[in-house]
Amino acid sequence: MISDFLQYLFDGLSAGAIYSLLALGLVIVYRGTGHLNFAQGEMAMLSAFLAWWLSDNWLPIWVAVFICAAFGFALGAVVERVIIRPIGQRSIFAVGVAAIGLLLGINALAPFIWKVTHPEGFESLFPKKPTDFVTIGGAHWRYENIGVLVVMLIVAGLLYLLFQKTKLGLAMRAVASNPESAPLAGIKTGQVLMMSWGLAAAAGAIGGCMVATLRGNVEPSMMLAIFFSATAAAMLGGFDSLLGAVVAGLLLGVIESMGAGYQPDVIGPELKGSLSLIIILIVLLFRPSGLFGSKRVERV
Amino acid sequence: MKFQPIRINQGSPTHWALRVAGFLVIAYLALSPFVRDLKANEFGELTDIAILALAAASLNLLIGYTGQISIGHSAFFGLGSYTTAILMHTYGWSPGWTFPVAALICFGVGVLVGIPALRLSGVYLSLVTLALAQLFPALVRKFDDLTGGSRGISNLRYDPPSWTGLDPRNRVDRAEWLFIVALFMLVLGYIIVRNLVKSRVGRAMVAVRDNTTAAAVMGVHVAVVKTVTFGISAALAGLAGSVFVLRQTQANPDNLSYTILGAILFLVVMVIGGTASLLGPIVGALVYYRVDQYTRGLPSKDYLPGFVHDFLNGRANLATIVFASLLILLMFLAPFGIVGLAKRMGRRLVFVIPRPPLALDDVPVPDLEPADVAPTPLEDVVPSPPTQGGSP
Repeated sequence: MISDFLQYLFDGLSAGAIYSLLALGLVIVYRGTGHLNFAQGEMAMLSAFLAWWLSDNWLPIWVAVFICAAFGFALGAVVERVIIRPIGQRSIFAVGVAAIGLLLGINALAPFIWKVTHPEGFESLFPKKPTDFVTIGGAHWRYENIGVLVVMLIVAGLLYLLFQKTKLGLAMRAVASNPESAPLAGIKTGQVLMMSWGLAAAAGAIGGCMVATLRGNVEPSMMLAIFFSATAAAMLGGFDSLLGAVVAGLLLGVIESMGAGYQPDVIGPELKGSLSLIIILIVLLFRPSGLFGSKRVERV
Repeated sequence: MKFQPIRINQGSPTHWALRVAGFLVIAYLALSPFVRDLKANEFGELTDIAILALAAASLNLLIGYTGQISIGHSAFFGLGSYTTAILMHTYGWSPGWTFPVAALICFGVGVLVGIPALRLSGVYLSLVTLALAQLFPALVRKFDDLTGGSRGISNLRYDPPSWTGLDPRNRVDRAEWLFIVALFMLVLGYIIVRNLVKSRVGRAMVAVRDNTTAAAVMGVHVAVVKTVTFGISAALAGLAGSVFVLRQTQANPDNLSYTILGAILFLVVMVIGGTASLLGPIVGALVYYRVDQYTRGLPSKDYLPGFVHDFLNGRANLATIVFASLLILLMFLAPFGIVGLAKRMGRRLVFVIPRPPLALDDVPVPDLEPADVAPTPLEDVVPSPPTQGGSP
């Protein structure tokens, strides 16, 4: 019994770590510009494809992942500067539509660039032999699952340090808490927002590589369902807290894994991916601003 | 020198002449399919456009007029489809009678979804509706004894009834009949949305959209307006789905229109046409469908040079990339959509001076008794002991 429980826990934690990575990006963007970046998952997918292409042709996989994170950063920054900001000055709703356009476009772009028609094998970042696991309480905790979790914690830790200990992080927090007054204090809001989008996309790119590692391949549709769960995690975490995103992501991953494991007939594989959305539905009914979110007061 | 637009009074003979001319152009465009002899696939294309337009119109009512964002209308679309499919397949209903049932069921579910949506707005609401879209195909697969699961329900045909004079065995006549049904639903949906929007209810909806709190203060029952609009919008999407399933002749959870991509498509079509514009969804559906059709055929066009053909060889998805780029470009140029853009351009040519709600000589001037206007005697201003129902 305990071994089943631990097994579901280990599987759920690595799935949750991926949700957390994407949710971190969503939270950073939302804090900065107040937009839900619908293209977050697809940008991560494109980055993962780049990592696959580089590692398949020239580079060791770890180097490819770093380059892909840098590419993700550049992609996010360019998208913010070239598309999101100019449209955002016209209408918030139009930004959402443009982000949906990005989702559709990037999703179609990856197979267009690389001419892929079927999933392409992705070299694993971690030891992946059938024997690569530690046994805890009768459950197998695979090295790759541990690795994904550790990578997420490192990324989250680095982001935490960036936000709390550096001048850039201070500027980002200032822009998040009061975008009108931040420029008065000498903060270059535009640069900060570009940085936010870049960091978010970089975190997403690493998330995309982790997804590819666990799946063992890359394909254009790999991030779609994961993006929705990540959005649910960001929302459960309240959309403005990094810690909330990490905790909620892990929580949703574990709940999905346990739900599908313990209730194979009620939930099973069909509803597993939708479980986090059902949970967020219920949570939002009782706490409209999520678990960790701060209440919004609106003036009329 | 700046060009001065022609100014026309609303309701003047010139204005009416313009209106009639516009109506005739639209009527010609709408009726020309019946005048010309169309092939079956051309009727099919028009049917698809009408279905798309109705789905987008349902979303327009919700997003454009009440400001509730839904990325989950594919679920209502699918619910309508499956209601029709199940009633026809399992219970042997004739297709025509399934439309009102599908609309009613979708209305009920829409109101149910609208109730929790009351507490949410913006991003949060869009996620909840997105959950709906994500959930629908999963539920269809789950309840496979009712829905046929992944195999789906097939063989759904709507033959023209005998009173139409159309031959059920003729492919063109069947396609024409389905187009008539789709057009009827679209016109019905248009009239429903138009009458709602131009009425007191519509003004309440717009008030809720522009400032919910202020609307509530003005006496608008926000909860009722929001949930009922959600229900009506869901019902229209369900109707579109009902016609869609007959056009497809089968219902299958793998159909992209029932997934989140369908919901996104409806949203995009609505935005292309113009948010909060009555004609927007129809224009959006026409433009989207034709552009999509053109770009899909683009790689095989002869007038492209050889190296372009070599480049495109083996690369799918060109249509989606072109479409996504156009969508983003449109958000730059005209976030208010094509109809919004046309209206702005049109206003530079012809400016219709709106008629005030009541012309001045129509306003009844109250006959004032001299006593009413006489200055109040001083002693009345001094507070007197409160009488019954005294002043606050």
